[in-house]
Amino acid sequence: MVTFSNIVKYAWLVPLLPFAGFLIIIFFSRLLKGKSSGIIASALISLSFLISLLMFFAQSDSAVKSITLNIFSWLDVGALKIPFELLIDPLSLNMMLIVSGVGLLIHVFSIGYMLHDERFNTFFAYMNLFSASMLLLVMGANYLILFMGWEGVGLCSYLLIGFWFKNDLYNLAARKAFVMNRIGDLGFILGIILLFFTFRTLNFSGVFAQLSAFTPNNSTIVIITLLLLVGALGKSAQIPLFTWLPDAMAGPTPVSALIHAATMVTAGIYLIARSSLLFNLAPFTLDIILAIGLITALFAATIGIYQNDIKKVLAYSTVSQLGYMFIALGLGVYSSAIFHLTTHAFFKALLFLGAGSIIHALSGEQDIRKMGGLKKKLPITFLTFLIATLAISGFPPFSGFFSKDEILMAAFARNPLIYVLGLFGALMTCFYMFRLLFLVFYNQFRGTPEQESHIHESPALISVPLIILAILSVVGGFLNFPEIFGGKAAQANFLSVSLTNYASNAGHMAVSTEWILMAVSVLFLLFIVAFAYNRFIKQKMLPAGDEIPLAFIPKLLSNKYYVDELYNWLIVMPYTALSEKVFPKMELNIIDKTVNSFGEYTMWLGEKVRRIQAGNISFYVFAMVTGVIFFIIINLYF
Amino acid sequence: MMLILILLLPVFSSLLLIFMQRLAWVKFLSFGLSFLELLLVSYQLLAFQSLNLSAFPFQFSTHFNWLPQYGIELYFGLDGISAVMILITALVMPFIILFGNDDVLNKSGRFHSFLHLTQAALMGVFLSLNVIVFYIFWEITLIPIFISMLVWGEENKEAITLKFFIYTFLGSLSLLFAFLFVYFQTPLPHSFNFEAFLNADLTSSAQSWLFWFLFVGFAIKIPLFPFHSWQPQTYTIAPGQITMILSAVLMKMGVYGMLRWLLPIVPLGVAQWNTVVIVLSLIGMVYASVMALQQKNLKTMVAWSSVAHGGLIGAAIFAISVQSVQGVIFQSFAHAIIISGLFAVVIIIEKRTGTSMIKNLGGIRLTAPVFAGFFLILVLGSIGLPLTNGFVAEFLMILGLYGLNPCLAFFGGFSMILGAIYMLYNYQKVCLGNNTNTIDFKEIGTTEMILFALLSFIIILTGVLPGLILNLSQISVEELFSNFYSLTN
Repeated sequence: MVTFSNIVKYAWLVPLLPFAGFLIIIFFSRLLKGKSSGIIASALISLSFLISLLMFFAQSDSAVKSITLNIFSWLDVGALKIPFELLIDPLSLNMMLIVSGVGLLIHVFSIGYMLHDERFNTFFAYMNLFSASMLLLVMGANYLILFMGWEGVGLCSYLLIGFWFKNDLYNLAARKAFVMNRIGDLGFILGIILLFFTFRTLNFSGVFAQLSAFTPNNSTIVIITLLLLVGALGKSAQIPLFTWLPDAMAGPTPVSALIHAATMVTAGIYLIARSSLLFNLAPFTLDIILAIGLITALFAATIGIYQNDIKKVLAYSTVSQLGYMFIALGLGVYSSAIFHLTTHAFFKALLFLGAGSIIHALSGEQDIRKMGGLKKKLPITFLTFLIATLAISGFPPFSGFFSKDEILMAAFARNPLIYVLGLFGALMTCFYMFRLLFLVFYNQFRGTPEQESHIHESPALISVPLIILAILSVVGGFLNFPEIFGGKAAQANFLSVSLTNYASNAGHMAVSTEWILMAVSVLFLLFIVAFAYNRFIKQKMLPAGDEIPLAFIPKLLSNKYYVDELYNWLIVMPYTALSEKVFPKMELNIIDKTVNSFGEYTMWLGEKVRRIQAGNISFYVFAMVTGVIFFIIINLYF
Repeated sequence: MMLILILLLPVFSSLLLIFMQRLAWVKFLSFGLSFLELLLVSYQLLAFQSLNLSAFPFQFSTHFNWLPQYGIELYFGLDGISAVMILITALVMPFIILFGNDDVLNKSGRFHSFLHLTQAALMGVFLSLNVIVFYIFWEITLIPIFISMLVWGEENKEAITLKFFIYTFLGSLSLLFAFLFVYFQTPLPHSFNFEAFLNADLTSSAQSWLFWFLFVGFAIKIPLFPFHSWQPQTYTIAPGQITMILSAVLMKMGVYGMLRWLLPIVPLGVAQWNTVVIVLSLIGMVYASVMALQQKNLKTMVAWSSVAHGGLIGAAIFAISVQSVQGVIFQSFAHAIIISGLFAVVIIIEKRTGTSMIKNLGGIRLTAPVFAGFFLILVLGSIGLPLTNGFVAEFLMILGLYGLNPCLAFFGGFSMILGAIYMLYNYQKVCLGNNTNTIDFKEIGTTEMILFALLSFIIILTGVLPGLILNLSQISVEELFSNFYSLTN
């Protein structure tokens, strides 16, 4: 019988196995031919998944729900003692299952997708490293181990976004992701340091155990939570640190799936949920999170409406959905945030892999204006993409409905205005997703005849992961099947060991209100689908070509509110000018000149003094006599 | 006695090598000798670790009379801080010798003789506990470096070498002046020994100005802003291996000097001026980071990155906490390993492409993925990614700064962002992209691969198990501060 406490002893294998995969593939790259590296990588990540699954089942039978595993002493400097320790509790198990499970499907998909890439081995090495970092992130038992995984994820995103490094635009996108994350990380690390000075420990339970001494909105706690929030904004691509995520699609499509769905962007959500007790003491920060989440959700959704690159649409939908998770965090319903994170992992991975399948079939085409009519030619991709679209739009009984509904209900309980705005965002999501679906799969094919002759459904390695994810996207909602439908909110109960929802929003509303709200949102959704159907299928409207000038608002939106340009103008250009012109001039004309002037002054003095010693005897005598008189006077008077 | 052996072996090596001219195996003999030195130091450090450290600050101390009437004696000893420093000195030397890829220098006995002479002087600096002996060794380090730069340097070497020499020499004079002043305040009979200096009777106003004399002398060596202007030029024109030793070890003389001869001697001066100095250092850190971004020459870029790291180190020294100074000592080690690797990358690129101008480079990863991979590991260590030793160092230093003042930590933390900006930008310019200029850039050979693999291994090993280094210096640093607090309060 495997008991929880027994199997947890092997928890370190979970991040270590994919890390070993990374090392094996890197070191033996030359020996690994064909698909072998992909198979090794997938096998190792599936082992991680199996161990996580075993731990999950063992834990459900166990009375002990959370175990800390101390591996070795990492940092030990005076009062600062930070062991390398892992925490296995419901929240980390939930994340481990998502990361290794969805990660595994993406690995398998990539074997088919990347097969013809000359750096197939390197790709899988990075993918394994990515999974290992993310697993470390969600398993760390203190903030510094979490940070270790956090930065590891940042590194892997850099490596994978810039995977095709011949293209300097991709390299730029990779650097942008890394640097922007680092801006957030500075906040995070300062938060960690303040945590240390406040609590003298960085261990989660060690910190949380001391919280009873603090009153709500205690200034130290507020500052800590704000600093952690800065880190979360960077990783989870929220305003103002979101612009790296849409550019991150420069990497191969499975990488986008991994970054957007299972790993990386969920890290910020995880960090805040993990620190729920801390954030509960800082209602001020929660309000800021709520505001940022709401603005980001709407802002990104409006941009999504006008994008014509299939991956860009999905990228902005990720930013927007992460906004919903932030809304949930800001409302203090952390379990709903994790629920939406879970369902989003399923359908967003599915959407990206589906997009990959489409791009694969069309030999690299990403512009939805040049697609169309793919329904018949790519039946599996179509069906699974349809399911994902329904799920993300929030149609019952697909998973996204339940998770988004939970968030919207909590919003309504707090303030109906938040609910209305949230619903508005959800409707926009529905619109741009169906716009995408209709433009890609319906009507006639609009690409070149040559592309058309090559269209083919993808092989099983690609389609099987799609099918599994589609099933998960359908049934994922039942993980936390709400009480109103006779469910038990299983996931929320499961997570309650790790998460404590903010009390003031726990008030339940009347069941009838809940039913009405649900009905309203479904009705609106149906209307939006009908609108999109009419526009894109019946009237066959197409987004304008790039050469046609747009009206003000569409132009603003399709250029993403010019945020990139703004940052470029405000930060990048001045910084470059400083580095290229201003500081080098200062160095030359002030610092170096001052230093050299000492030398020049010495030379000048030497030149002047040299004349004194020109062999003029009478001057020497004069100087000597003057000197003697001078000393006599000094001697007399002092 | 072991310490004397550690001091004398490089002197012997230097004398032996100077007679070997244009012999193919000079490099290997030189390597063998430096490896022997590394073994000696390792043996001594193992013995050091097994001692009961809490007894007296200096272990294995040895005294020889020299000029007893002036309180000058050959007094050597080891504590945790100098232990890390001699480890650095001994550890990077074999790498520096083996990375040598200049055919003339590899066969030149004189050049290798100078390398060993530098090492001997460095060991003297780190082991001397009599300030006059310290000062003599401090000055001796300049001589072989100065000659090597003049003989084997690149273009415009005369002017730059002269500037380097005069600049650092002026710093030394400032030190000497301060040392002499303190000497006359030591209890009778006056002595130049460390313990006598600790007991010198210095008023707070004397400490106040002495602080600046000592600070400037040491700051020039690191160098700290605004005393840095000799450094980027010097690092650029010096032969690659000399640059490696300058950046990896000579820079740490300034760090060590501050920890040994500044903090304990003028604690009141430190308490008075530390905020000013920290702000100055941090300005330097930001300034150098900005300068590094758009450098035209890869070697100069790495040099500026070293100024930037020096800035954070300088700030952390004066943050006056066990964590920050432990961070400083750990960073001395980490930076030594990483920067010698980075300069090795530069000399390899220079040798193969004939240039280190960034605009002529690019796309190296296409043909040399292993080389580019090692370069990336060094870059990541330099920007302090967790699990590399650079992270541990940076974290401890920022933590220490936070203890003093959160704003300073915020400012210091910018190194995380700025470092990533200039390093990754230039890495991209050199290794990524699709440049055809470097299409015949060959993958590195086995020796270089092993060397880089060892460096990477050390970077990650000490990142995962930082205790290996931190434990060496922990007790000495704690002792340093217990003295410091008892003197300032």
